[in-house]
Amino acid sequence: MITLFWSQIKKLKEIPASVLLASVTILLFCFAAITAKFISPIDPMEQNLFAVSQSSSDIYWLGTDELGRDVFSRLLAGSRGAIIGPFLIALSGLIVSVILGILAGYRGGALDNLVMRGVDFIVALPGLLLAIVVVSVTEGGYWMALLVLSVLNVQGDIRIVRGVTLEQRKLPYIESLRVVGVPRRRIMYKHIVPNISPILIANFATDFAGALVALSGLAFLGLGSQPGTPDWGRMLADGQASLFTNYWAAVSPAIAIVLLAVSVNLIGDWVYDFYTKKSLQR
Amino acid sequence: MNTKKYIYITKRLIFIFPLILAITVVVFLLLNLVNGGPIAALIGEKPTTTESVNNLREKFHLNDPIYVQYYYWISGVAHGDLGTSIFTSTPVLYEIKSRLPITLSITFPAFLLSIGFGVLAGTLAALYRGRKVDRITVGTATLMSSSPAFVVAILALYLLGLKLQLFPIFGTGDGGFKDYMWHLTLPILVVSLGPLAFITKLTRAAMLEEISSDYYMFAQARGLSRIRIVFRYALRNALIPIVTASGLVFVGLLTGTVFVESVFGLPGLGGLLVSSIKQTDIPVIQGIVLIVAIWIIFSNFVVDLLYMAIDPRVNFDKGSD
Repeated sequence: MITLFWSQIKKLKEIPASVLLASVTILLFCFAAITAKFISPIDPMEQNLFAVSQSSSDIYWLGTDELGRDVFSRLLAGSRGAIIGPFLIALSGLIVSVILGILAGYRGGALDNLVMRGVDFIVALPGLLLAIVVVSVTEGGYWMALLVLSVLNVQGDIRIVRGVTLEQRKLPYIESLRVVGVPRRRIMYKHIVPNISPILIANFATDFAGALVALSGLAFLGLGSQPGTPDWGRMLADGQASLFTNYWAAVSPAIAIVLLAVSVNLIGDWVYDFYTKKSLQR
Repeated sequence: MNTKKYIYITKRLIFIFPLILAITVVVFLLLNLVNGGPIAALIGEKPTTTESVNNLREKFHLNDPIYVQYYYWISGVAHGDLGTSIFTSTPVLYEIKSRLPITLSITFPAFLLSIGFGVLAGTLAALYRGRKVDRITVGTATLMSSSPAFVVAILALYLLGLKLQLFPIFGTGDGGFKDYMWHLTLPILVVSLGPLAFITKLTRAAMLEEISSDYYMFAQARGLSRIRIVFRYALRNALIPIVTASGLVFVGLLTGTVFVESVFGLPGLGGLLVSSIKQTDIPVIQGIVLIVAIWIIFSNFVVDLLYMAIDPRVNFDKGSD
């Protein structure tokens, strides 16, 4: 199945234009995140109090914010945090769901029960609301935000991975492996993981987009990232004050957040469709 | 059959109590999570003397072990005493009660809007699968579901409020009902976009499954009218996942109002939460989280009941999943 998946990727013609466009967008953001320090025209932290809330000009491409900092440079610098944080949250979701989700789905029994009750409990919590409250009350900053969002995010992944593992369990290839005497751990991680990899990738994408939105939301309320750091959510909140004078200060981080989230979601949706189509053909 | 139903309902009701208990513990512990401990949280920015600290310790039973503190707190909560705000010194319950109407008048219309239009758009997209209507709907839904409420709020505020001056952008108006709803129109639209997109995608997927099923083809072969097949049979089956997801829609709307109320300067529950976060007004934060969490638990219970009413095949022997 994974080989099928990669052979599909190689046939570039069959990839829809929207997915190609999304990939290019993501690559551009990654490029900006890596090279921001070198390509940004002006230091993103530099304040120019003589050029406060200016509209776009030759020097300030997207104008300046309410402290006279260059919006374009801050946008570039912000792409780093917008990629690393969500990436870490999605990665933790991937790792935990592969371990716990497959274990719960494949072995069942008391362990499955325990994991699923834990999942039920997290589902019942008002997710982002609780994240907002915990991060603000503990004054935990960026890492606390990542931790809380990771914990709240993981339940969905475990649920989905457990579900597809239950599906795989019934398939003949697993039975054959068991008959031949392949150890359980090997079946779970060497055989089931590759077969559900499209779902894992789709999950990763959904998590990433969700985490980007959640982290930006926290930053929008002044939580998570430190004041002053170039963060898209923070820029959006601060830019609200300059809407009359330089609307780019608020509109450009808004577009950046949506553009990155849409691109990642498009790719995730496409990989998910790929999985469901293939499993229907079986 | 009926007794099984009642057993199932009772089981769900019993499951609610440990959940609420766990949530009250989490909410209670918030006070202890504050940087500098509960004293720092309760004193705020007031000047501290040994005497005032001792008074606070006495008042909040801070000298007792933590489970005794919890006991005092929970028995207060059980009597409707959620404490008093550190900053305004008004009872938390009163603060919440006075803010609740605004949040309700945003979430309730937004809920109807996202479910109603979501089901309609999703059904249309499924019926015209692969055609222009479908592609436009799916594209818009993907875009909207990736656009968080605070981003849409800022963009709408700028475009529709400032640029085109179509909508008022701040506050709740002059006090008349018409003006009140007019001021809430843009917030309602903004907050419902995400859930609307979610319901649209869900309905489309569910309807596609129904359309490809045998009974659908059979009904078509029998010459039943398309409207009858779609609305009487297919939609009723497709409603099952939608009802299940409506709990999520509700949570999404509540979260959305936190951002939307603060962008549009509306004094609702979300606005109250944001301002008490900025001032670290712990009792108010505790009160809001507690009430919202219990609200969500009960609405999930209602969703379960609805689910049962719609789908006679629900297996009552199994647990929640």
